[in-house]
Amino acid sequence: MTTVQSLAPAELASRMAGAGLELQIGPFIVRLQSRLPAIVDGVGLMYADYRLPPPTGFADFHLRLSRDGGLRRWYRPQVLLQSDGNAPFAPLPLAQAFPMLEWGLNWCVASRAHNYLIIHAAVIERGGRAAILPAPPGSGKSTLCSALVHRGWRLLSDELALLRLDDGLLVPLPRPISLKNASLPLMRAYLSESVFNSPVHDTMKGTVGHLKAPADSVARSGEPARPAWVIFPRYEAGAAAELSPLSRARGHMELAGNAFNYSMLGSDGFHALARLVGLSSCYHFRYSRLDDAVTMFANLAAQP
Amino acid sequence: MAAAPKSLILITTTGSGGRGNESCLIVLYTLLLATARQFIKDTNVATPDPDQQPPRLPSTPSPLAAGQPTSPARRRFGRAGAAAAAGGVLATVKSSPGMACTICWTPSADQSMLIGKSHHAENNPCNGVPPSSWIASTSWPNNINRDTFKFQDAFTMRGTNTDKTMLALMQVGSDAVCAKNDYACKANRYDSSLSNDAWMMKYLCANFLNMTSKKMPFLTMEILNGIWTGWCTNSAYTPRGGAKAWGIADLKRYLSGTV
Amino acid sequence: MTQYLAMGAAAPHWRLGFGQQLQHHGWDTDEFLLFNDLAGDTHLVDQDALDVLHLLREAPDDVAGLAARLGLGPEQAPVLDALLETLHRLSLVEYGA
Repeated sequence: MTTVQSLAPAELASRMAGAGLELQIGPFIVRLQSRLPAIVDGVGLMYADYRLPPPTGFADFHLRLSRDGGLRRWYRPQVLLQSDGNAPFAPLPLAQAFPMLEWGLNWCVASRAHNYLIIHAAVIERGGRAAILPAPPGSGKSTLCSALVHRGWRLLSDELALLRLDDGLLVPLPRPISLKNASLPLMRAYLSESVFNSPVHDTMKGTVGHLKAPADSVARSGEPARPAWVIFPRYEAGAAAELSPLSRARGHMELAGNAFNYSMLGSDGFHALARLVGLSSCYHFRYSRLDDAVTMFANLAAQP
Repeated sequence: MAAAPKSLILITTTGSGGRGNESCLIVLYTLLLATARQFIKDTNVATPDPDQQPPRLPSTPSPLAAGQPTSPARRRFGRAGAAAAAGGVLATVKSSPGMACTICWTPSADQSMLIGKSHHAENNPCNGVPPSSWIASTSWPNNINRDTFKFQDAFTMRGTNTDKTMLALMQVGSDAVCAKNDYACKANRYDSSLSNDAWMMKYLCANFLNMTSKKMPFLTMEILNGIWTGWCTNSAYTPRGGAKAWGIADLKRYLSGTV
Repeated sequence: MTQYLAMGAAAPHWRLGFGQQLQHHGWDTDEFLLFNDLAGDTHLVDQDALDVLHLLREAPDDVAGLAARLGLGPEQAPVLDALLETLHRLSLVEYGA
């Protein structure tokens, strides 16, 4: 199996500067084009374990990141992202190129992959059962997810849960995990053996960095998982770890509020989400210490 | 989620509107209903007063009102407490108003996802072009003759100026020329020199041409006709039965945001 | 009251909203998820609301008839009224001849 890391750096740079590098990210083939060193190096580091699919000429998404033109090339240079030839976003400072790639990939999936019900949630799996962790930004979801996927859980996704409409399985989309501000030094200390890229400062979300997805999670990105738990996490300073059961009906309502395309899918989305909660136990989860959370989740997985 | 009290959880959908046809039919039905009522009113057919409240049960106390209900249903309704006061509906996840694409990106887009406020995806990129682009283009989609194609050749409701060509209707007023990535400019391209009617027709023409050229797959003729008919009949557009009506400000923001 | 059906001189009745299929799910509580076919909304409703909707699907009725079928007494009239008003506002039920 050919992966990104099998390419010599010069070959990687050449492909991305030319026709593009095609790589398999979850169920999608993404073609990336860029001459920007931050992108080439970032892909080489963060996507090292990702498979290069056989060349078919087909890609689900095509992204190109380049320096914005005009005077901006020289004074406070900016990066422009283009998706299938269109520029959907305002340019960002050049230093934010890699975060922009990640945000752009999120946008591609969330706005176009409508054969899935897409929920803003992390998804992790253990023992053949998946836990969905829906949460708006700032809930500590990514910090929690980072810890769990290095403590016995497989990463299916940190940001976007893809629920397949026809069979109700969760399809993996493992990607670099985005961490912000205080979470970065916290997780660097907690996961001293893991790979992080260089943080980018002064983004609209503050300082942003990425944690490389575990190689095993990437290797198993073709294995969907059956939902078993829906857990709404909330970090609260000083709080003891606590799981509070939630009824399935109310879990459904909260999940719908975290779904990107629930309304668009109409009654199909309604039934798909109901099937998911019907298979799952739903909880609110409050915590402050990561080790407590890891233990709580391990106990959950140990239950039949 | 708190127990019992009603709450509205608003979400807005993203996407290409691939399932928009169903919603369009519902929109069409709602509009037909409104049109039928209007017709019936105009022809003086006797109708119930729309403002009449339905008759209510008398509230006089019953001998059984001393807390001794005799049937399961009576017990259940009596015991529902706060939920009953709220009318049996505890919460609602509201569908979007049927518009898969709302407003194009602005520079203030939430950059954690670049999709507006997380799952409240109010900002979607749109591939449409403004009226000035269609004016400048010599090639219109589907072999439409730009010199002769009238507004009423596409839109069903006729009225003042619908017999004018789309080209002429788009040439009125000034069209702020925005740089490709100048999203602040695009968001404010309202051309306040025009009357509301003239503005609506101008931007409906541009949206029609964008839709026809497949630049905006989420947009359909049903939606555009619905907007035009709603504007003509009520100066508003209600995307779905029971949903909030869009006034001129909402319509301007939407129709200019798609280009 | 915006959903009148002006069909004739018969006494107005409550009926299930046009196009509503009452697609719903419930598990181990007396709260149910209900899909609103007209608005595309999803509602969390209780047993009372679901019972009223099912009865109106079987047969339209006026308030007195509906209350009788539910086995309600006059003291529960305001509750039924409030419920019908809410369901009407959500386009789940209609009122007319």
